[in-house]
Amino acid sequence: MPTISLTRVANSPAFAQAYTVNRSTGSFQQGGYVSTTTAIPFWGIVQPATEEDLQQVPEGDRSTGMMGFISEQPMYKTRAAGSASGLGDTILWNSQEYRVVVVIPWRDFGFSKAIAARLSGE
Amino acid sequence: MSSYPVPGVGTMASTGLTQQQVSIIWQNIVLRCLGITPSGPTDSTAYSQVRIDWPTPGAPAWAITDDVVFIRATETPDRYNTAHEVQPVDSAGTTFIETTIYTRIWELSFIFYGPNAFDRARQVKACLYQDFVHDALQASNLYLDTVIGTPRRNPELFQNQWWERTDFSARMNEQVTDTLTKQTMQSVEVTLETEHGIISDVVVQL
Repeated sequence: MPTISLTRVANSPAFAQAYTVNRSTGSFQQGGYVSTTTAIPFWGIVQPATEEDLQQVPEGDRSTGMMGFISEQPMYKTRAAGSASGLGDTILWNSQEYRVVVVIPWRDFGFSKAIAARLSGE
Repeated sequence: MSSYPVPGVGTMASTGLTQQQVSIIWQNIVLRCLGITPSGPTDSTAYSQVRIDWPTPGAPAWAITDDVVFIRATETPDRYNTAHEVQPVDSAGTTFIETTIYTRIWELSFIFYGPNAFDRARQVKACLYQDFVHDALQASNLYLDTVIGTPRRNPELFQNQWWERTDFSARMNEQVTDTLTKQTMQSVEVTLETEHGIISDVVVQL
């Protein structure tokens, strides 16, 4: 196991800020997968992961982009394991909602990193 | 039965089923064909074995050892659904109902994953000719086309393993009845006009 922990960096007020993680749990039911969501306050570092692109398609303009989120607490992609089954976390930051698509396992160093895709498209 | 306003005309009511309603009907039929009896509409053990394609927010995946069926229901064009029968109206009131009857054609894809995918596809296909399937569909104005596709084994390579997959498709007809409530003619305006202008303008109440 590593002997260094970067938790203090992840929580440092010099870098970190507040955001909200919406965590879902659910199950397959008649008609499809039904989930319920709980809002969890998070504190951590937010950084751009990709540029914000504009895609111009015949139907209109689409904005895309990804952000990286670092926190002491874990974030999750969609998972299927029994009662812990749920859709990937969505993260509310700066009035925009992002969905976790990549989780980078840095737990041994005291933090979690997730990359999340912008949901709205607007 | 859904209804929506048609501006300037009236209200349209339709027996046409939504894609979600069609999918749920088939979800229950396929479960029964596979011998799975859900304890209720929230029985996740049962319903996780027969899933509906294209869930908006996504859905958890399944393991290579799980036998799972996906149902995909889409409407498809066909010469048969171009004919619309508008029934004659005989009404003396201030409103009348215009009834239009036509057929929608649905394309159903059954996509089986899992170690028993091929056998389960054959099992479901054979089951589709049973009376209970006909009765369940008829209750919703649905009628299966008895020419049903052949199950085709088509394993997929994913994460360095071949995942068993077998597909077949079927078509069904849906009888749709649309009713539109319209206003009857209340009066007729008769205007006589010469080169000097309008010389008579009479409204005849009916």
